[in-house]
Amino acid sequence: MKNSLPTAFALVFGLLTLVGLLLIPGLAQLILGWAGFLAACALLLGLGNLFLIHSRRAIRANPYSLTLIGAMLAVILIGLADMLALTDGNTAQQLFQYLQQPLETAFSSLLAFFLLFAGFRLFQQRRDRWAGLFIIVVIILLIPLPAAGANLFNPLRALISALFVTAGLRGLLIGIALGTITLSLRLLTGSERPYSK
Amino acid sequence: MELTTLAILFFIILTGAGLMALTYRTQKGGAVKLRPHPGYLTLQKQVGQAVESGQPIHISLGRGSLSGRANPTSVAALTILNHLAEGSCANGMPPTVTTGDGTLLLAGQDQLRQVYHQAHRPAEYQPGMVQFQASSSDPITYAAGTSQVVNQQAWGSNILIGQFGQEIPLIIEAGSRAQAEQIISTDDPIALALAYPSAHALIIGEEHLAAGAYLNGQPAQLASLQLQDILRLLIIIAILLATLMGLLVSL
Repeated sequence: MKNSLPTAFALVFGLLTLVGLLLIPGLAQLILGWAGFLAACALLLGLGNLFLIHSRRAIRANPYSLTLIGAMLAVILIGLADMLALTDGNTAQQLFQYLQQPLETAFSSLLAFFLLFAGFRLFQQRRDRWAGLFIIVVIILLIPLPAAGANLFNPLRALISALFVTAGLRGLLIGIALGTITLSLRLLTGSERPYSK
Repeated sequence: MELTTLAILFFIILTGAGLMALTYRTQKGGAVKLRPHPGYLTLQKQVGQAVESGQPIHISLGRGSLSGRANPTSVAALTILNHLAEGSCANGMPPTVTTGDGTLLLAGQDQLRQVYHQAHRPAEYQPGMVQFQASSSDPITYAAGTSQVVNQQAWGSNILIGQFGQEIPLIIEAGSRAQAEQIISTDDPIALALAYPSAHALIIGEEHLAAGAYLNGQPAQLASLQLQDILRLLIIIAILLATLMGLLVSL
């Protein structure tokens, strides 16, 4: 009974949502609204989890956790001050605009360097035909820069992009779509139960 | 009723009936042979390696919400988590799990709680074994938080399963510095391309969604792979026919 209740619940609401999406849009909207509300509650629990874990580390004087807890409390206080009209009402937004966004952008800009190092490591560790092919394709794709000899590679680059990359990507996406359909069917028929073992 | 709705209903009923028929056939002993997958073979070795080396496993479940479009990707990730957690928790080497979504946090905690309960060690379960890093709308923050977890200690393996995007190299780089074996399983083409240079094993696209068949091998899971193959064959025939018709019309 304890195990079959979540399964029955999931099956009923899964099928109701499917019927709603196809035939009764209002019903689907209602159930999806409930799901959205539950997801928002889960996000709050997630923030609680983050706070508790870092509080324990902050007690042991972990500098990262101390910073995180301090920032979390500061943002909550600023948000409250904005809400109570103690500030101009825009401080939390400005904090994100001038602090969070530049930090995220700076971190994102490291992606190119990480990929470069990863490419070097790949060639050091796995000197097989696939590593060689990967490096060649990366070089060819990076060639549209106006450099001497670039014109020679442009047709090759266009061919790789239009033929092999597009075909490969479409094949991958068709496979993913088929996998999604069959997994969804298993969920709807109750033969896949990630919530109840 | 619109024609599109009718067509979708017809397709769902047809594929549902096909899945049930193939499941029945598999239950009655119909053989389903899976090709050996290097990614899943490497994944299955991780628990043993962690126990032998004394270095635990870090698993990141990605940031795909169970209440959104990424549901199948995250369900497959939970299947892999369950498989790894069963072995590692029974051997006293629990994994540390990170996630970028609230629904996955709760599902992950529930998985570990159930695994400990099945291993008759319910007292050893701690909710902090699954850690929320950032909301799914902040991929870079999620990657920064997860990288910090990876940097904290020596890991035997850094396993990234679920929905990731262009933030994945940041987590992989932390795993590379920790010299952990890195296994990536996702269905995002961008994340796959970015993960390729550093991953020791890669589970690509639909293979990620076939996690249940490879790790549990239940009849319905095996039957769904057969159904996928049949549907794929039909799509290939349809593409070839459409191309042929296009050529004939242009002539």
